[in-house]
Amino acid sequence: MAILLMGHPNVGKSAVFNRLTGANITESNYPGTTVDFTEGYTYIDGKEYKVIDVPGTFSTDPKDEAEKVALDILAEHDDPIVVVVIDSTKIERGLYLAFEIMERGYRTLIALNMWDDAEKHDLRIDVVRLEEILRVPVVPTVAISGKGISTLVEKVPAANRVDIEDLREKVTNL
Amino acid sequence: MNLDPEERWRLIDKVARETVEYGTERSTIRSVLAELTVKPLTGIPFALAVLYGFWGFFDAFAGFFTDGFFVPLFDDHWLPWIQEAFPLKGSWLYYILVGDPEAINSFEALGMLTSGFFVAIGVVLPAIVAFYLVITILEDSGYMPRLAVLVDTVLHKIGLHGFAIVPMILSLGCNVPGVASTRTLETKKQRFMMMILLSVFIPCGAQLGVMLSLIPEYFGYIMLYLVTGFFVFGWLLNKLIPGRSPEIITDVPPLRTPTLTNVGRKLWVKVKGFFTNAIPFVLLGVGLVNLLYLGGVISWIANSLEPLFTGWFGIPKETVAPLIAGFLRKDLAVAQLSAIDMSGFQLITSVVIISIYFPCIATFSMIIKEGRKSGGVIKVLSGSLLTLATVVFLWGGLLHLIGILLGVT
Amino acid sequence: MNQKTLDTLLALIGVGSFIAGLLEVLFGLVGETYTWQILTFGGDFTVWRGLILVSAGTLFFFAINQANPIQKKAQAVLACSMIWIIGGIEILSTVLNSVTGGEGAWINTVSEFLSHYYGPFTPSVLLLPISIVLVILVRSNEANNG
Ligand SMILES: Nc1nc2c(ncn2[C@@H]2O[C@H](COP(=O)(O)OP(=O)(O)OP(=O)(O)O)[C@@H](O)[C@H]2O)c(=O)[nH]1
Ligand SMILES: [Mg+2]
Repeated sequence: MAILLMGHPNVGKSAVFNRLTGANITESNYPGTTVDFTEGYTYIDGKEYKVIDVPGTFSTDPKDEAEKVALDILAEHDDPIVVVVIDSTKIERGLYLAFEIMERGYRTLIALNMWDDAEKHDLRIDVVRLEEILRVPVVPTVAISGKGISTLVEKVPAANRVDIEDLREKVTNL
Repeated sequence: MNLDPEERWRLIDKVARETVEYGTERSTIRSVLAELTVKPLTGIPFALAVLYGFWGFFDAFAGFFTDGFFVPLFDDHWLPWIQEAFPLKGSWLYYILVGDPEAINSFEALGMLTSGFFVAIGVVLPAIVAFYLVITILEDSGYMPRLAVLVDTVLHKIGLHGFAIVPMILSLGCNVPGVASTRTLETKKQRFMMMILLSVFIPCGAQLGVMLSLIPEYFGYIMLYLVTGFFVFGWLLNKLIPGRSPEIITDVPPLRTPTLTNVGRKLWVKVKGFFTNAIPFVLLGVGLVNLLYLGGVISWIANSLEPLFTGWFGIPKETVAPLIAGFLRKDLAVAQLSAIDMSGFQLITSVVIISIYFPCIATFSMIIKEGRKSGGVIKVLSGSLLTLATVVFLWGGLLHLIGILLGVT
Repeated sequence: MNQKTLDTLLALIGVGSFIAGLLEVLFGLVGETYTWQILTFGGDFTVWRGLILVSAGTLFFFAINQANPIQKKAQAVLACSMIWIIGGIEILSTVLNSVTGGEGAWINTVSEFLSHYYGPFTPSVLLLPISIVLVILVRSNEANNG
């Protein structure tokens, strides 16, 4: 079973990857650090999962070679679980990618990373409500300190496919 | 099913309004600093201070280890010991491994176990530790993309467009990730252009380190000439190669305080990589050159290329040996050059030529690998070799001409 | 901390850095080393250090004229960090130089070791304490404002 870490550049995917797998891949504070994929393994409830750190991508419509690598990985795997890593301070654009992935019918899970930054900016996100609306697990994380990572791991098996038609109707009626 | 982008944004907007509450966004000292560092008026003086800090730290740190510890260790203890202890004095094996039995410093002994070890551990290791420590801090603090934006702004002001700054800065660490990071560029033209320019004109961290340690007095001139070459040929290639080079918009991340664990971890990965990848290549380079000497190959090449070397570039033919070593490691090549007897200007010229004549093997294989993805290996390879030959011939020759005009050869 | 104290401090350190920087550029260009009491001008790259100090000084002056308090403080912090970089490097190399001995000796004797710390110092090292006080004041002030 494969878990793909996807998200915009510089949102902390590699940091999450390192926390999940105990690997040592490069995390740097600029976009485009990871341009190739890295695989690692983690065990959840005694089951082995392959975790893949994917290059940053803005959308599912590739603009450059690094994004092409990202989408090839997505296409290559048979029914993977996609963890969409989002920079909480830029939640809208993160959700855009999350929507695209959910529309493609993947089992999805959202990590609201950089939660500490959001708190610093006095930005409050109602995680429970967000879960209710999207019907996928949403977990606040701080990848550099490891906060929320264990919850993320627990929720991996609960990753969900979303009925977009339903979602559209529900959101429209909010 | 798929939504169209407009509808997607509409839905997200509603979701966000339902779940996100924006507090009063205050600007903090940190966020203002983040702006000040990219504005030219305040950013350029600060960048100067950072560069000075870079150089100063390097000088203090690498100087401490190289001159304070490794030079005495190798020259006073290791060298005399191995010169005596190694059997078979006078044999070819002795020559390859230990080198000159009379040498009084590890630099001029030229054996694998003497010069090879000394250059790898005594000179390059402290240099790259110092170098990567600073680079890592600059990366993690978020200053690096700011420097990129600043340089980009300045370049635009002087009419230079289409340079990808982040790969350039990365290449200063090592050309291999620099070339890999051109993947984030949009068009084939841009990727090709940057790959060539990076691998030709930007010396890697190890080479920079050795230059700063061994020939600091010429460092400025060499870099000036290389950077000028970068922009001159960049401008030319941009005109000559068909295709688009769209603006590169760097998303500037916030300033962060680097964490000790992450800096330590990245540094450790680099140092480990140095021991497993670089040291064998340095030793191999020394061994290879010694073997070729013994076989008479070096003097044969040197004699056949003499007209080109002395006539066109104005450097002694002995520089052939470092040039061969340079295929493997540029840092080693620079170290070998600095041991050859020649004038200051010749040293500058030969270091420039070492830098531009050919990328090291690791970078070259990366170009081949990446070339496959951007227009085919053959096209990229022949294009880069053609550019390379032109650059070496013209830019190297021009430096000789400058020397003649200034009367300093 | 009120506006007046901050501005006075800024003016003090601003004038200090500006003049010291100019002198460094001057001595650097002439190529001489000049020492007065515990203050010294000269050495490698003095011109560069001087230029950086002059720009830090200018930045302090900008900060005085800045009405927006956050802008003012940020500019002050930026200028201070420039002083820290050059001063910090100076201290680092002093420390490292004091450890290694001369020819043939790896570690210095205690008295030799200490002799490195009696000065004289370059201006940036002497400006360091004031700039540290300034930054501490600015930061504690920011925390108080909420
Ligand atoms: N404050 C904070 N910083 C974080 C967090 N997660 C990651 N970072 C930092 O953010 C920067 C980017 O992290 P990376 O893991 O390299 O990001 P990435 O998504 O892999 O980026 P690309 O490989 O460029 O796509 C690094 O400097 C991390 O240390 C977090 O939760 N909080
Ligand atoms: Mg990454």
